[in-house]
Amino acid sequence: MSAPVLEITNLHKRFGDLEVLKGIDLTMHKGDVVSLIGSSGSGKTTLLRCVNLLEQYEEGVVSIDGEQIGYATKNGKRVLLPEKQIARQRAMTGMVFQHFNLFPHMTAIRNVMLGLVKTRGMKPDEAYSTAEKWIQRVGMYDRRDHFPGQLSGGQQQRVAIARAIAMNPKLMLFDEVTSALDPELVNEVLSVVRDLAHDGMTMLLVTHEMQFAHDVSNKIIFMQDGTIGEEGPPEQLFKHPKSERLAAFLKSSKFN
Amino acid sequence: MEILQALTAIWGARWPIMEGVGNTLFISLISIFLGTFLGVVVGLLLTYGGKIVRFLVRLYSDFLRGTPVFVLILACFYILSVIGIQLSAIQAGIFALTLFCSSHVGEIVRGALQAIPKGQTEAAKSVGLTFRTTFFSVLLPQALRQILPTWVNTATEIVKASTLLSIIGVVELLLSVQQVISRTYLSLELYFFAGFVFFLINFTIEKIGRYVERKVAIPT
Repeated sequence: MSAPVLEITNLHKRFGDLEVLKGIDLTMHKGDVVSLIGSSGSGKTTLLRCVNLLEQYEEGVVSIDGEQIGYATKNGKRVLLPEKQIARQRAMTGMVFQHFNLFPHMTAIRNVMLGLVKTRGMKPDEAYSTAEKWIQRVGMYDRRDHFPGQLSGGQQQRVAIARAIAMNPKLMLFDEVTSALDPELVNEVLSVVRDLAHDGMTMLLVTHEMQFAHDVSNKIIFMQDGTIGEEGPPEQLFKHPKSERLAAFLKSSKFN
Repeated sequence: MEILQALTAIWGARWPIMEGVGNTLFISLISIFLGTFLGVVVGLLLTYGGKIVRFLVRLYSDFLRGTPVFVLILACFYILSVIGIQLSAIQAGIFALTLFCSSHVGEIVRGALQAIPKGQTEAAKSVGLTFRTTFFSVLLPQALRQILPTWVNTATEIVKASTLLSIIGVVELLLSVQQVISRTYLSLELYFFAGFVFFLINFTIEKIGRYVERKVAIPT
C-alpha cells in the first residue's frame, strides 16, 4: 500500500503558555473526506493550518505523501526548512479560507492563474487554459474577467476553490468555507465541495454545517480542548455519540 | 505699466529662467524617483524586517522626518565634504531631497502594507508563493494603489522643498527669478510669476496622479 496522503503524529501546538493542540494523530488515505467539528477554540482551524504550515508547531510530524512537511531533523535537532522548500510543500495542499482571501487587484481568472504561473512555472497560455477549465468547473466561466469586488461572497468562494484546486494538490483543506456567507449562498459553495468529494479528492474540512459534514465525509472528528474527543464514521458519530460533550454539541448545533 | 515691464524682464531673462525651471524639474523628478524607490525599501523593512533591522530603519526614518529639510540640505552640502565626500551643490541637494522623500514614502508604504489583511499573505502562501513573489505580485500592487494620493502629496512637497536648494547656490526656478529681481527690483510681479510656475508644476503632478488613480482603480 502506498503512503497515506496525510499522516499526522503526535502534533502539539502552543501559543505561549496555552497549548491548543495536545497530541493529535490523524491518517488520511486517497479519497478520504474528513470533517473536523467541535466548538470554537477546540483547535480545529489550528490543526488545519498546521498541515500547510500557516502555523508552526512545537512537536509532532505532519507528512504528506510520505514527505515530512516544514521541518527536518539535523544532528538530532528539529529545524524549520528553508522558505523555498516550505513554499513548494505548501503547494502540495490547496487551502480555501473562511474569508475567501482572493487577490482584489486581479480578475477571477488571474487569481487562479497566479499560483500556476509563479509556483508551477506554467506558461501564461497553459495557465490560462488550466484556470479556465477550473473556473468553468465551479460555474464561474461567465464571470472569469470580473474582479472579486464585483462578485458575491458565494461566487468569490467558488473562485477561491478553483484557485486552490487548479494547483492540482494532493489534499484540499477547507476552513469554514461557508461561515462568512449569507444563508442563500451557502449551497452553491457546498455543492462545489460535494462534487469534488465525489470526484475522489482527498479533503480535510473544518465545518459548522453538520448535515453537510454528515453527507460528504467518510470520517468525522470531534475536537475537544485540543484533543480528538471522538472519531468515526458519520453515521456512528452523529446518531450514536458516545460522550456527553459530543451529544450536547450536536444538540446545540441543531443536527437532525 | 509695471506688468508690461515685468513681462519684458521675464522675456529678457527667459533662458536663465528656463534653465531654472529645468533644474527644478530635474532635481525634483530625480529625488522623487530615487526617494520613492528607497522609500518602498524603507517601508518593506519597517514592516517585515527583523527586530534590529526595524529599529535601525525606524531610527533613520524618524530622524529624517524630524529634521527640517533645510537642515538636511545644509548637512548634505557642508558636512559630507568635511568627511571627504565631495558633492556638487546639485548632487548634495538631490541627495538631501531623496533622503527626505524616502522617509516619508517609507512611512506611507508601511501604513499601506500593514493595512493589507493577513489573509492576502496566507492565500499567497497557500498557493506556494515565496515571500518575494508574494510581495511583488500581491502586496506591492495593492499597497501602491493605496499610497497613490498621499504619494502625490509628497511629490508636490518635494517640488516645493527644492526651492531651498537656492541657499547652497543651486540655480533652480526661485533663484533664477531672484536674479532677475535683483536687476529689475520688480519683486512683487516676479515672485508672483515664480509662484505661478510652481503652482503649474504641482498642478500637473496632481492631475497626472488623479489620472493614474482612476486608471488603476480596482473595479467594484
